Amino acid sequence: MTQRVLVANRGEIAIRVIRACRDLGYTSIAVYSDADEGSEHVRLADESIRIGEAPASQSYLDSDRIIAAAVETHADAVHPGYGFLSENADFAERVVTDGFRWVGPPASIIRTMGDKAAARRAALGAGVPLVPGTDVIEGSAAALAAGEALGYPLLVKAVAGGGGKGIRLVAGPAELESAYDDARREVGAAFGNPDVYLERALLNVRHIEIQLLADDDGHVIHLFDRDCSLQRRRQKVVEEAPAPTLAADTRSAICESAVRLARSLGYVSAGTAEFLVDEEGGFYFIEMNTRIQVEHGVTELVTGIDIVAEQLRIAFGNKLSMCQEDVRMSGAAIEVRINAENPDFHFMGSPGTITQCVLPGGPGVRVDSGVTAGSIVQPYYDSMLAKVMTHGADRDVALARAKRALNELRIEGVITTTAFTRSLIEQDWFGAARYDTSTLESAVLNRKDS
Amino acid sequence: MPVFVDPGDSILKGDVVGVIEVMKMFMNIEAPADGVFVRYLASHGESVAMGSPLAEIDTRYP
Repeated sequence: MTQRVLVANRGEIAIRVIRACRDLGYTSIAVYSDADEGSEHVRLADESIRIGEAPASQSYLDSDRIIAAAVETHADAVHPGYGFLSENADFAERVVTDGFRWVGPPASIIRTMGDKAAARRAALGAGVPLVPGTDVIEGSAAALAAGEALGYPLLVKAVAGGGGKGIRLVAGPAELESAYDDARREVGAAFGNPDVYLERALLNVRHIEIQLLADDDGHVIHLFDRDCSLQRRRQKVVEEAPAPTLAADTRSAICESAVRLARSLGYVSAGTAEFLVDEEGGFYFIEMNTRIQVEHGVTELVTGIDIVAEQLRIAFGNKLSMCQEDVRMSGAAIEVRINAENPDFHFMGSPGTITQCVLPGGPGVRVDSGVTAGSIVQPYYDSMLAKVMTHGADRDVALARAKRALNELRIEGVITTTAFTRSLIEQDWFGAARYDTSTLESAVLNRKDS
Repeated sequence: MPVFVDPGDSILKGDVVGVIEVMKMFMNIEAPADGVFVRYLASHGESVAMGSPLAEIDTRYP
């Protein structure tokens, strides 16, 4: 009997999982909303099933419909991709209770890591350095006292949620009370849990993350690091592996910390531990993503390991295909995300029909795309169209190939961020790898001023 | 769902009269001029096409 995998997602990540299934000889089953009936992920899967109406809440985010689709198609496993239900612990639990394999970590770990305060406690328990901060703060008087002890600038952060929601930067005590109230209101409304805590705001830091893989037998390995510092509104725009400025001793210390955390949790499947790293090489755990990430491809390029295939194999009870000593980094890789957004108008989403789609090729180029000519970019889902990734013997080669690839890329019919991202990687500061988590926001501001 | 402004309200250029969602991104819709708010031309949750009017503002008596 071949393994049957329900791919509970859409777009490029659904296609990525479908391709891994094909390579492994597993049967892939796509799900689609009414808006996605003619989509590429449906065409490429072995089988497909409709799950509902166009709005995500009535299809990709509706756990009842996903479970019903798994039952109807006799699926053995559910791969959630990223976004949608991928970090919904209740859904993960239900998948398992209903007799399917969940391609991800146990629901209990998703739950712990989804609660930022619990995640900090887990990291503390594993001896992993944390950004100095507090537990949940009750009341603005307590916030002021805690802010005094912690020092400014600081961040008010939500225990629940993600995507930057509820985060407030506070320069001094005068702003703290209103920031505390605002953040609680925003996340209370969005996630039903108003709890917030305080964290020191670290300046001039880089966002470095460690890719992890773990199997049911307790083997935990890391696949080294990625630098994802180039972010706009806390959304990553360009990522690279390895992190270009990370010193060798810092790299091994962070990787070792990430493995220790995963081991202490009893982690299974692919996951990512995210850290902030300062100029002196000090590093601080921020959070763990308990799913495959958008930017996993750059790690695949430098290690030669198919992370999605490993995720699937692990879900079916196989041991990791490699041990830590087998993991080697070769060269450098860069990923540029191409979104259907208008950089000249607040990066507003740009739905429409793609009239022309010419993807780049040649040595060292990999494109994971969810669209082709004729595809309709829907207003209902996120704006990412494709990821252009390049690999080279070193960073200069990977960067030259990234510029070449973005020059070749033609997507017409919708407005895209192609030219914007090309101008970013052409900047001297990018060539010299001189950037941190604040660089992109400043670059966008300067662009507006000029 | 509470509305941002009611018919008859005086509004100033830049006042937020609604929110539009595209691809999980939210953007405020600001009044392009001072005036008196007449009515919404789209209902809550409705899909709208690019360029379609969303509200009517009477700018004769700012």
